[in-house]
Amino acid sequence: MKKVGNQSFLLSNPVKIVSTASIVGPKEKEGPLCEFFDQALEDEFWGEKSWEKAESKFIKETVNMAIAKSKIAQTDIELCFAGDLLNQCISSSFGLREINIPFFGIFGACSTFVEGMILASMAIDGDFATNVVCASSSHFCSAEKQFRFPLELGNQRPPSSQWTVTGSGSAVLSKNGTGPKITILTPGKIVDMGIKDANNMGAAMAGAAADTLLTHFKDTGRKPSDYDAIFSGDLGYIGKDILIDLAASKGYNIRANYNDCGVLIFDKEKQDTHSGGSGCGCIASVFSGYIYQMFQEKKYKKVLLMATGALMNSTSSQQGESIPGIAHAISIEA
Amino acid sequence: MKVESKEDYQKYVDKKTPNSPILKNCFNAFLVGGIICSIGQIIFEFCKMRGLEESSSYTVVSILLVFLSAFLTALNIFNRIGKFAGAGSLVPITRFCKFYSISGNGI
Repeated sequence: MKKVGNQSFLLSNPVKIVSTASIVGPKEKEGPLCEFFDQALEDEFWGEKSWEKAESKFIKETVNMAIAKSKIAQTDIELCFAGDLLNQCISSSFGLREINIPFFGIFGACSTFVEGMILASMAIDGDFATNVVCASSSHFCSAEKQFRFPLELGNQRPPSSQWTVTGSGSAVLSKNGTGPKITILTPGKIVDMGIKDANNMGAAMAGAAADTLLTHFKDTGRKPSDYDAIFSGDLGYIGKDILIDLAASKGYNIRANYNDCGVLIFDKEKQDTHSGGSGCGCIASVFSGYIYQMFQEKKYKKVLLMATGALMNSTSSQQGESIPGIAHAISIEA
Repeated sequence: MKVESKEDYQKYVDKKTPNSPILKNCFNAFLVGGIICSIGQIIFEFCKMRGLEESSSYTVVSILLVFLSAFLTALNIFNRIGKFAGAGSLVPITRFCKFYSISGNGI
């Protein structure tokens, strides 16, 4: 591994994404990406007694599915990086308590999935592991309960609010095998733009997204047009607009090939999702479903995947703290 | 666009972010809140007409409205009313029920 520029890392041996799996809930099933997910459920409880139990099942089943698809024996997978939004990351640790693989619970809010892929790539390129599994999940009902209001209260949502995705994505990364390759890592810094409105996460995270994106271009000497597509996840409609503006103000035009996973996963008009999707499960399921499939169909050869997270909790919002954002990017090439 | 400071950014974000439709929300709240209160008044007048004391009639109104909103919550209808009416459905006594029915759900 070689450091390039300020904060990017070029892997000496590209890490292969040998398999992915995605499972989503009923609202995502009605969305435009439905056909790309491995499994889309009718019932957001998935037969469990609580939403938390359901979310744990999401991540457990997704990880099992990704490992099965990779054709790598579970005992040959040496590390697991997983995280979610619930307090103390219980969805991952409860869901994966029987997985029997050394486990790191990580938290990067909605950036968790790519955070895990960066750590996994470092572990593999650093020869600490050969096969690593990454996963993250979120659940609309459990997240609303924790971060906003209980669902049954019937509160109104402002136009800037985002809809937490019910779903989970998982990827198996390996030194060997075939699949799209992770070539460059650009972990992001925490950037606080002073936004305090927990109903406008896109605006809170866009500053961090711009910082990571522009740093990635400067570090690597690449331009936006070098990529077939640039995906952020999940800034939503407002954050996406802001990122395009912020990048343009620094001389980078990303309008042509940039999109956001939170924008892609729902139909804004039909599904009443306001500013789009969010949550750890958003970029995880969109990458594991849609983007990975596009690589398989050879429609993409080079993609920049950048996950963004709002690093707040329910207490910090109540105490009027501003929301620090973070964004982690990886370059994936066929 | 130039973002030199957090204040600049906040101003820019405010401009970018669509506002809630306040006039429409206020009208809906007024309408639905008014309907709920009218229902309460009708129950009250009906009880008095049937010879119930005033204080007991008030109790009956509370019981019935709280029951109604719990019932509609179970049918998944009340959250839709809440989304439409906002404070109009939550400021009247129907809100009380929400707390009970929610705690009943283990939330």
